[in-house]
Amino acid sequence: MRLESWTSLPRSQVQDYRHYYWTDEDPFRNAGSTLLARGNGQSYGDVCLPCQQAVVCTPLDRILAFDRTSGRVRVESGIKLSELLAVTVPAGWTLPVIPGSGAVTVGGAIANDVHGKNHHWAGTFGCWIERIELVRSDGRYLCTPEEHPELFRATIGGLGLTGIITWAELQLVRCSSAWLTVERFPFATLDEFFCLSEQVEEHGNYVVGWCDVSTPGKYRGIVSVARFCDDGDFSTPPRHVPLSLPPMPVSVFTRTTVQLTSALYYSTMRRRVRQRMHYTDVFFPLGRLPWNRLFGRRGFFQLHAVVPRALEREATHAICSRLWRAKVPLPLCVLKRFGARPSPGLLSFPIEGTSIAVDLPNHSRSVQALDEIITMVASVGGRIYPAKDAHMASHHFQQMFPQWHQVERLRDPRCCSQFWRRVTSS
Amino acid sequence: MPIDSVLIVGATSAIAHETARALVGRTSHFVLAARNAEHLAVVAADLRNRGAKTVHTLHYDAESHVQRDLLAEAADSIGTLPDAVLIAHGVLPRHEEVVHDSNAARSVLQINTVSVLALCTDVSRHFEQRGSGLLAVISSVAADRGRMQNYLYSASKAALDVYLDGLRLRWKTLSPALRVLTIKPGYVRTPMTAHLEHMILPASPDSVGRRIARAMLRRKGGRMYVPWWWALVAAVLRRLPEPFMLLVRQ
Repeated sequence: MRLESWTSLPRSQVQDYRHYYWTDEDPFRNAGSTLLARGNGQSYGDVCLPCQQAVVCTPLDRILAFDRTSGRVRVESGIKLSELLAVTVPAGWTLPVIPGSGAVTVGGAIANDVHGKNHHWAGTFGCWIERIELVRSDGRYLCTPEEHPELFRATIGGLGLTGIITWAELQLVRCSSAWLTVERFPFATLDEFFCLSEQVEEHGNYVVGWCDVSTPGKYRGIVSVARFCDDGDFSTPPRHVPLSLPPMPVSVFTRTTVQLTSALYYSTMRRRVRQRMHYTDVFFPLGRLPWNRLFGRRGFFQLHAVVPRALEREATHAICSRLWRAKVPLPLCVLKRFGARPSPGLLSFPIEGTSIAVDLPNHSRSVQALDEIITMVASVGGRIYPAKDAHMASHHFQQMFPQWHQVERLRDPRCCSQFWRRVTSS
Repeated sequence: MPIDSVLIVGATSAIAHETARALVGRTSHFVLAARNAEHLAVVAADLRNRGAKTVHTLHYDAESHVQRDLLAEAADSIGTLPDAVLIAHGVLPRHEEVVHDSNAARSVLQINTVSVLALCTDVSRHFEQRGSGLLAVISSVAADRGRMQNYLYSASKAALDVYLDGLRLRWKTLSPALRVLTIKPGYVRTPMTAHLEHMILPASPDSVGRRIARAMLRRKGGRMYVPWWWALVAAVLRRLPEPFMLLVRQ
């Protein structure tokens, strides 16, 4: 078997790996010279690819402690977020930060300091972590904001370079239903998106914008605002069979099909003004679709950038128009305004401003557009998300994340990823 | 009759743990037996946190020659004889290490065969006295035919199949509430198979665990291959003439 990253870019295969079954084992014993902890391989680029050997943590999926009155949970690092939610939601607790995929593991969520549709009030995943146990080549460390604080901050968003996370303790937040009310507001221009989005950013809301970038100058879309219901209904919807597809030889997306489906999606969704949806459908909308396979054997890139608040309108506009000029199909573009809550993580991606995430097929025109956009994002003081990146140049990374020196200093000498090798070589 | 309480022997094995997780919600009382006390405590905590009402643990070493009536001990801890027993412990040796070493071979047979059949004997006495019960034992597809790479393991599991076939017939004459389920998994990605270089379409422990739990809750009897298509592979393997078996190198 081979492991690869989620985008299945051809060069991303790993053959040397082993599984990590029990936390009392020492993964560094009798192992390759450098290791990299790996969760469920859901990141898009090479942050989940080791230089030498991968330590697959998915068998570490046990819930070690769950206090149903205080909402404190201690879990092993390989448990998937969807699996954890399936246990905690019926007990009235939800994860404070839920990314767009439930297949992500807790360890991966910490290592990439993931964010969700509620960043404006909840911050990142790392903001809710209380304790982490870290196995390094020189021993075990219990990291909290007070104990080994430097290591704690380097591990959150640390891309697995500071050691292997065995378990973590985090605080959940209350929810009184497994269902959410979703309201949708259509927008016709990007300016409208910013106004709309700002108005609905209340505590407890989950806000995200979908934008159709397939037509030039007309960046219309939908802002959806979700909020947990208060009805105490913890029922689960009838189970949908997940769609499974063989790997497609070529991408199903062409500019015409994307234009048509985007128009169809827009006109359907603008009519569904208010809807009651189960949390799995709200948080993991692509969970049932093998999205990564639709791009064919060549795989795809994702551009996920954040631009600072002061320049967000101009920069977002510039990114969208540059994307359109690349003349490649852009099946998905997601906009989200980040709040000001800081993360303890040194290499945390979110800054106050607007984030844009776009999927691009692996094509020379995409690569050219990516290059230009990354340079532009760097020049306005924005950032590229390491978890999604497969392309950024090392000087851009070092400019966007000046704290990388600190992480490099705290990195376990026996942990390394292909991403880190790429962005730290000068 | 639902399975309200279950005794799981070898509960820290990946397949047993996944089966137990899939039983949570339908089964309230668990008694777990395993050798490694620390791992056992972790598995017990996991089941409790996922909603199991009571979880008791018993320390049990299948390699020990002291015979213990685990089912009676389980009955003591939960106050009633469990509705079902799942025996899931076993070892998969590196064949080259046991092929000429009689002590190593003996220890494999003690763990995979002797301890299991001794347990089954106690279970059959208790269940026959009560007149109901489900005995599920994890055997293997490998038990269907000796192959040159791991015939000791195959032999140790084949004994279980034969014993359970006989017990199933006996129970059929006694009561319809007595059931024997022989579970025959193919390759599963677990710590036990971590040293195998090549596995044919390995299944994940959670899919296998869910299948086993579903079969147990439906009180199925008989031999069950997981995933199901191993039944076809095994049918071919059983009938393959010896010269062709020389070509089977997996």
